[in-house]
Amino acid sequence: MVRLGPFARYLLMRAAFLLATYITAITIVFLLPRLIPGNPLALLLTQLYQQAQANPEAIKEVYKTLMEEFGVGKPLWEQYVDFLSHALRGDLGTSIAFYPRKVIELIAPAIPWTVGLLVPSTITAWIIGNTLGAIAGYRRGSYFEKTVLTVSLILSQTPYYWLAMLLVYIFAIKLNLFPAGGGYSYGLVPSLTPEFIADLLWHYTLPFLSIVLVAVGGWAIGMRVLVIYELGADYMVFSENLGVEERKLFRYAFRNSLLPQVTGLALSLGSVLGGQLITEIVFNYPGTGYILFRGLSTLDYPLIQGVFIILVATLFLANFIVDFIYALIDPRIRLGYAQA
Amino acid sequence: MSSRLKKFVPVTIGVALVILLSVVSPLLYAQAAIPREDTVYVIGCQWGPPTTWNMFSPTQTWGTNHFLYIPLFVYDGMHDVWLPMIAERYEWVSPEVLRVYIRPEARWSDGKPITAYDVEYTYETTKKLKYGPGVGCWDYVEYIKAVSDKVVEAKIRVPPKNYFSFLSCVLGFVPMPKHVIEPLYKKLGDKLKEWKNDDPAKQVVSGPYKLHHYTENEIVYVRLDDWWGKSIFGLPKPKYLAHVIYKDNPSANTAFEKGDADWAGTFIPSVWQLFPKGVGTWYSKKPYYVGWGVNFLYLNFNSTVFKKAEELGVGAALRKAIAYAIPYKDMLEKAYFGYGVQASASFVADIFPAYKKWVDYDLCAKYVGSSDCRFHTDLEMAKKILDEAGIVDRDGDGVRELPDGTPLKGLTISVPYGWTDWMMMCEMIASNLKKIGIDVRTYFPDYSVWWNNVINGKYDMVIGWDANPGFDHPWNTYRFVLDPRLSPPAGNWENYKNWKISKLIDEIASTIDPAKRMEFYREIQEFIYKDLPAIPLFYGAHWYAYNTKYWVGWPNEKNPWWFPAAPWSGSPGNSFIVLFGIAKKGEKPKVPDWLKPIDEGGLLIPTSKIWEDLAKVSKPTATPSPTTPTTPKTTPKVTVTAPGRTVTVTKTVERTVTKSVEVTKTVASTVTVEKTVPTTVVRTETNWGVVAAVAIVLLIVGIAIGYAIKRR
Amino acid sequence: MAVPTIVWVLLTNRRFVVGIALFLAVVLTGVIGPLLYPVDPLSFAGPMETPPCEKYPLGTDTYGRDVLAQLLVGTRTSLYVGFLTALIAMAIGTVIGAAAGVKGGLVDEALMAITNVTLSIPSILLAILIASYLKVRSLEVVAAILGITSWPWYARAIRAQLLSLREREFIYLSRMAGYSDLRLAFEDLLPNIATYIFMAMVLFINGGILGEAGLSIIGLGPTQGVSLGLMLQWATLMEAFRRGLWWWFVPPGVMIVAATSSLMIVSTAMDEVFNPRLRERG
Repeated sequence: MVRLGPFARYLLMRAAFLLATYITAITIVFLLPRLIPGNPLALLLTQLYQQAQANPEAIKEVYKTLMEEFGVGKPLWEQYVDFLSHALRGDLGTSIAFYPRKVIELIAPAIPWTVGLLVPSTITAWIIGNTLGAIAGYRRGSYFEKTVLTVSLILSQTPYYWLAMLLVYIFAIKLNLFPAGGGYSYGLVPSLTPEFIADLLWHYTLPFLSIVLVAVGGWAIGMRVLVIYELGADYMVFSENLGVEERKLFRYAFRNSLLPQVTGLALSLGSVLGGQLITEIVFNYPGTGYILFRGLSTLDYPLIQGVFIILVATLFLANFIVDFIYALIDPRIRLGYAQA
Repeated sequence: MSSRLKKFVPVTIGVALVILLSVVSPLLYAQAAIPREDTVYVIGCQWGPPTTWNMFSPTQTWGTNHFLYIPLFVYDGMHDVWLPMIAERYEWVSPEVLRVYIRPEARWSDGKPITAYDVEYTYETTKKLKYGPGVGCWDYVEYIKAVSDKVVEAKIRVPPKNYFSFLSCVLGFVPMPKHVIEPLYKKLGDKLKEWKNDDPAKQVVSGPYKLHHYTENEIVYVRLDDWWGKSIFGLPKPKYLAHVIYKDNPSANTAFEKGDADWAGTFIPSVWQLFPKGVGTWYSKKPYYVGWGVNFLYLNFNSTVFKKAEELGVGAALRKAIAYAIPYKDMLEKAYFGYGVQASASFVADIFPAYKKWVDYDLCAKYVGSSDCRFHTDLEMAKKILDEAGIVDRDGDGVRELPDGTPLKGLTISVPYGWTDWMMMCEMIASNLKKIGIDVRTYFPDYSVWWNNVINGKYDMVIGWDANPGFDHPWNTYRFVLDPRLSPPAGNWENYKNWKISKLIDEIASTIDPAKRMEFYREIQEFIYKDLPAIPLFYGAHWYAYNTKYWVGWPNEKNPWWFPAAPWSGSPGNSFIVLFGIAKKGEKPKVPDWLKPIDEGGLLIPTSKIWEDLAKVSKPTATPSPTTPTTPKTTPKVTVTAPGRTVTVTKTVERTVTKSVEVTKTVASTVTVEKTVPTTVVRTETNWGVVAAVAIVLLIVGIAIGYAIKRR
Repeated sequence: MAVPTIVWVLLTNRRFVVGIALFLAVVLTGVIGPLLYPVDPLSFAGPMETPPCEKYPLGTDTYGRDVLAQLLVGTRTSLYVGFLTALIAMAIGTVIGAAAGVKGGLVDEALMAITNVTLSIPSILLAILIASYLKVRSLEVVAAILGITSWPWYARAIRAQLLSLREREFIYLSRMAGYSDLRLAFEDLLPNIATYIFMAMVLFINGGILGEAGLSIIGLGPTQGVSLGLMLQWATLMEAFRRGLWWWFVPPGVMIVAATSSLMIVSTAMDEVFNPRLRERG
């Protein structure tokens, strides 16, 4: 065997472990929808029947050929082998409900929207939340801390879909300040003009706010506690007694508390591709959450699998990156593995 | 530690920037914006991403079957008239042969003429692919072929000699361009059904619009200003036609309320609240929407309790009692916002004058006991019927039992989850049935599960639909609901087996004489009143609403110049005709002159005229009996016209002979189909155990692998 | 001796008092409310979409059902679902986490693998699966769906806590005394992390209440009865937002926020009191 450094070995182990978990997860995603006693061709066939009124029985034949083509009636293990071999070649298959579109073609256009909505809003919420939380933790007992904590506690427990609907009700319907939904004004053809970008941002405001508002609370609560912990740590007390400047102390505390929050950020960015189903529906915003929901509600096996293959992959990738960062930063992990 | 951390901040910001750029990148296709005042925005016809614009594909984007590819004749269901579109006229050559003459002007959008060969080729391709325009027509049509460039000839298959299916196959036929499809088919073969046809530059269409551009969220069509039909029909008024793909009704309706959409095909709660904002529906008062298709309560003859009741001879009484117990009025008022009208006990959509004539109200009154041929909610009546049939509560638990002691307990009434109006109706029906001593629970599974239950006959009661009304109504409804040769979901959801009715259904379809047809209808209606195989609930609303913020002149009750008017109505009952008569706000709308009956100088041909013309050519033989396989006797009469014809005649004679054999085959094959469907399902069911086992094994294997790797 | 001091300390904490008062108010609304206002929340008797008036203090919905009656019963069911979810999730999480933490080795690896896999399977898929098998989704089923899908992070946390505790001296002593693993877990280890478990319970109850509403909104909530989530769902389906029927969609949301945030406030306040590292200095 090639001798690897403890660091590389640790990463390799983690990667292998995640890969195994990944395959298991994907297998379960493959099996679960097939356990449901529903018919993935239901939606497709309903449309067909409406078009073949002259002879509805003739559709039975189409039904059979489609069943064969999608391999729906095949034994399960055969379907599984099919699915795996195609997936390995990067072919996620053809959607059933949106036949003949490829699964990848359906997911790909949704990804920029989801990422474009969720990544900036997650990061913004993270920055605002952590700043507020850190200041609150530093200025314990102040009026500021109390306000931040109370507001954060309430916001973090607000159902985000309800908040989203309230925002639509107040700002779009009652005040008519913002559009009620959509990614951009329909009728505008997507282009890189200032006019279009302004329109894009205008449509962006409400969904962005609805996510940021709820998320800020959680980050602020977490950061406040972390900073308090850090300020109470022995080294802090020691430094304080040494007469280190207060600003400097705060900066140390802030930096050291940031690590778990960075982990949290990485993990929530990893799950971004799951989309925000209800936000997407409420704001009629294009995104992966809705694609997944359509797949699930129509039992579109290939679509469900396709979304999950990508989704779980990013999730695990984020996990791996977190592991990597930890290994990089924390010598104990390396040493721990070296000892084992 | 912290210095390392410092590096991550710029990295994350960098990543965020890259991602933001990737969002913007698909927006680089720069094109001009579409002017709002030239565009009709549509909602409610497309709920998922666009798929294809290909008539041979099992899925099509809205527009394909509506105005990209248009039929030979377009049908107006309210006035029961046909508008010749691509076709100029028809001609009955004999009682079995119909010719359709294509307009000399008719051209594809690339300038090539639309010919009979396009029709023939499209039909032949459908036959090969098993799907496409005219699917399934081969059971009713002997052939569809080109006689010359502009003349299509079609012959009815005898037996079954089904004029209804024959006419809808031929008149409503939608041709595709042969010169485009033929090379594609040669290249793709069966994969032709995966052809998307989504390049606006390459689309070759027959209708007045073609694709302008599409995204995952929006489809935009643009008018062809040099459309071939310009000289006959003029041009439709909107330059653009756009459909924004909303994710659910509320978001679509919000846009509609704001005037961001003009033409709606969605369910809108309390639509009258929008009237002050310029919104209109067909009727300005209740029921607001036109009834379209009958919604039934289907009671499964094969479910344990109903089967037992049938065996004991009390099935009809049980169903009738249920029919009297349903709170029709409350259901329509509360669950349906008053958008519907209770359906006639005869199954006929008698709200349309064209169909009302097929109901024998005296006969109905005799059985149903009301002059308007409706079941009127009457719990006492329901209880009385049950008591008389011996379905009484013997053990005093509040639930009645069948004469043999089977309790009417644990029955379910089921509709798909999220179909709010139907769900509420189920609740109301269940609560009323409880009052007459029948224990029914509601069950709302996902659509795909519900559908599977219906296909496999695994349900007690469901609310379901029937065929959409057409020129063949009520025959199509009778066939859908009653014909024992059909199986769900193609029809006969309740599994009622009455072979006398299938004979009547065949006879009606081959009868030309209206009086005789009425006689047959009366017989069917008598069966319905006696057995009540399915309980007609109400006419489902034809969701059509318009907003006059940008466009005016929409058809409605006061100005009913075209129907169907809902944007989702595709061939042959297309609604795009509406676009010819509306006008921009501020301009005066004008209903096109050609939207007048043919004897008033317009183009509209009443269905009755088609029958009259058929009767004219079939005078000598009057009404040929359909039950005896047609002998060559009738066909030689055709040989009057062209000399080349004799050849075809001999051919057809040969075919009719073999046909009788083939028919028995098709009957046999339908039986096998019925069988095969359940077997596949049985297979999926038995799979579950295996599935679970496989799942566990795989799980263990996965964990083991993970563990082994980690241990190393 | 110690107990009264703790109570006293808690009661002097203003945040705690406000939180617990609010939470008790919500609980009373759910428990006693329906008794004081005995109107059938599912009766279709009323007029359609009436704004609040004397007869209907919170108006009626599209089907003429009394919104206040729905709110009271809905609060009760939502709390019930919340508690049940917490119970199920904690039962599973504690057992798995404790087993992994105490046993270690192969058991630990296997259990953590299961935990990780469960984490990666979204609850919605499981919910649809369960939903299609059961004709009726009762409140208990909904709670079970939520409980079964929310335990992993808790199991992980329990395991981590135990691992750190395991290294402490008193455990060595117990082991040397020959205690069984089970006894070890329940007698020595769990009491040490009891406060932690309480905090987790609050999170699970909130998760249950919010989760029920979330599932209901996409049509996977309880199939029968009344809950805050179902109220929001019907309000959404009937487009109460677009049509400005605020009395239908505002109250259930406010009630959810009141229930969940009051619990969070209580939990935070308790944390400040019991966690020595969080106690305010001087």
